[in-house]
Amino acid sequence: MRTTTIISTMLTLAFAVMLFSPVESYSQLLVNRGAQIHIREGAQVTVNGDTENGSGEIRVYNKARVTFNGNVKIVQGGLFLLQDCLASISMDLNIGIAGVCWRYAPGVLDVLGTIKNDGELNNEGEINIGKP
Amino acid sequence: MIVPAAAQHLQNGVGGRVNNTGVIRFKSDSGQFRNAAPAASLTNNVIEFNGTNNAFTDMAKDPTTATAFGVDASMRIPGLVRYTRDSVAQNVQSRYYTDLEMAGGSPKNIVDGVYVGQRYVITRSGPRTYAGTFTYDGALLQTITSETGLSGNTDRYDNLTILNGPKEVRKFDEVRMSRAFYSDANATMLVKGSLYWGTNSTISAPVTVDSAGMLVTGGGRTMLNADLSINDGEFVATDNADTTTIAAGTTLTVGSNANAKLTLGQNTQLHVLGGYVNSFAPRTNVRFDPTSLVNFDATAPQVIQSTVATNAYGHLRTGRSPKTVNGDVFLVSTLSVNDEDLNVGTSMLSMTTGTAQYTNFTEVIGAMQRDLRGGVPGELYVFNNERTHMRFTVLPQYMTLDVHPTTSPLAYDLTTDVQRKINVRYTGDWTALVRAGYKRGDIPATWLPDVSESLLRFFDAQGPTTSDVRKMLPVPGTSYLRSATVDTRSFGFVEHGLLSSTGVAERRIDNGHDLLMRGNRDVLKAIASGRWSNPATWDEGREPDPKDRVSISGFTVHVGYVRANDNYAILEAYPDTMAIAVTLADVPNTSLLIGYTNTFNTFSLKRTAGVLFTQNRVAPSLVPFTTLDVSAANLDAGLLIYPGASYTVPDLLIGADATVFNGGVLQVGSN
Repeated sequence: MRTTTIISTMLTLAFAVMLFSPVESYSQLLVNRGAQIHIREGAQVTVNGDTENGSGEIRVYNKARVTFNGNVKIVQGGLFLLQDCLASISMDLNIGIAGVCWRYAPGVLDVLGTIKNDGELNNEGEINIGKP
Repeated sequence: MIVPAAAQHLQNGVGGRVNNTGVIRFKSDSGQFRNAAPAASLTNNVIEFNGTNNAFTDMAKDPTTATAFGVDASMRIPGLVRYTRDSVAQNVQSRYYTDLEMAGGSPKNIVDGVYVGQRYVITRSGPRTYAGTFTYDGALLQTITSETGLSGNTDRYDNLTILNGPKEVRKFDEVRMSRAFYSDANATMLVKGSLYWGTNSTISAPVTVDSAGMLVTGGGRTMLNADLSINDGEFVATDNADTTTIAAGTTLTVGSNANAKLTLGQNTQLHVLGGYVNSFAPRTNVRFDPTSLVNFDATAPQVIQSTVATNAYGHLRTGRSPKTVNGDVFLVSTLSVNDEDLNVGTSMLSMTTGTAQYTNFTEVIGAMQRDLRGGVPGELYVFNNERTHMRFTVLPQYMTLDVHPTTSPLAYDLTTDVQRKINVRYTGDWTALVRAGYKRGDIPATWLPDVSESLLRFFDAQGPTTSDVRKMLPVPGTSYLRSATVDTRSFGFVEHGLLSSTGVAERRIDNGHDLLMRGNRDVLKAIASGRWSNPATWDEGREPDPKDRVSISGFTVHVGYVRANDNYAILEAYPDTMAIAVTLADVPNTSLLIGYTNTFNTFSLKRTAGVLFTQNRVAPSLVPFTTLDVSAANLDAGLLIYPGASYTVPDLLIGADATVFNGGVLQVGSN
């Protein structure tokens, strides 16, 4: 399986711990402090740990696949899941007052935990909460 | 190691906004949409519940507080909420939904308090069990979704309520419920398919049945507080249902075509407080089971819808207000007229052999026909009022009494007659006891002083002049039965024991003639040998009174004692004023025997100057008169007074060779 992660070099990106597959990571936190993270078409990203978007954006493009094995917190900025990308969050998705999560059609966002929304949750595709 | 989250909800905080034009799916059994934000914070396409107990709550998991979506209409859940699962039953939450969908193969438990504002969709759903009230409450046109279960609450609504706006049952759809149906004043209903109400039902907005639709009542009471129009289709009060009530101010209208139908099943009642109209002129579009009842019971005057013989009412009741008709009215069971009259005008009320009951001295004014083809000899058939009836020994096919109070009959004499027109029409010969009622209002103030209700008897009246009559005489040995009015409301009556369509003129009522009641005082004629006090002795079936003139010709009449010819023991009512004239004809067996019973032995004509006893009979031989003759045999004596008896006549005229046998006292003179 081919996995690709593309990060804009134009933006500031701060990592407490960051891991790009296919190298397996044991890191605990992905923090974005204002960068735009682009996960381009067809890419696959796995974050084994919590993710926090303090500001900036995480944009996942068509046919990409991103797996957050942990909580995702959007304090400001947004998580944009474009077109037919697939995203899954193994724990909770927290959207802060200034945060946005945008799931465009026709893709799917799986959240196995709880979505806690104090900001803006936009869904044009499918959002699955929990598991059977 | 990553641990899956235990909580699997969507929590929308006070400032949160959820804009869902896609699908948000809750996959766990206990997943909840928790909300603390205003209603406008959510736009929605589809929220899908895959669990067994998914719910909308507030942030503290409470589904009953103000911020929980769907808790009331102001927090109605926008978009579609879909319950779908392939196995294990899902519990459908009590909420205000916009669109609601049942999908997947799992059973659905739909609790009380589910409201749907727009569409309710069932898509390959497993069985749905309803408990409590399911409500369609949208302001725009809503389609009531088919549920066709025949019993219980599975795949059949329990209670169904429609509110706020128009609804319809589409053609070929079928909607059933096990219990109550209710609509509010804004929820009009168009039934193009089939709508089966459960138990009790109440409509508060108009319902229209069209496009061959069918509306069937439940087993309980149906209250129509708004118009029900059957334009094309059928309204059925199902067998053994309770009462369907048409409220005051509302109308049940059956349209003007043969496809607009009304059916009242067995033991059902249609209680008409408003109006019932059948616009289809042939009237063949309605069916009333013989056990059904239509009850016109409005407080305002009502028009009773006409029927035809082939599609007649079963039981018919009227009450509380005057009633008229808009054509002939046929019924096959019983008639009950209460409180106010039923005036059929120039039409006819026709019934078969059921009972006709009247309260509060009401009556049917106009023609009332009995179809007696299934009649039973000896049964009493009541006609236009409680005091007008016939008991047939020979039944006609049809008998009609056309009764009009305070209306002059043929041959009417305002000085002697009851002003009540009773026209008799029949098909087939008949013989019957006939009683005719009348009211004090039928007695004109122009009656002569000596005319009274106690003198009333029947006449066959066939022409305009007062002499165009034949007096109906009792059968010898019988008498008229009379009851005078006691007040302005109640009925008096005259009864004759044996009238007929054929036979002797004095007991025959011809077809189309009026049955006249006349109270004049004719000369009273003996028609049988018997006691003076016995009504059967006299042609008018009554004992002579102090105003009567009496004629005896060919009969032996006895006074004051019992003879074997009639064994009549009742004393003379007016022993000292027996009549104002007595004439004995010179005809064999003409006798007046004055006897006694113990001290009842003194008799007199009225002691007034001019009162005359005329004795013309010439006895052919001496008649023994020392002891009372108590045999049944006629005597040929003329006037005979036994020892121990006294008889006074003011004036006495004895004809040539006429005989008087006096063993007692015969006093002539008025003192």
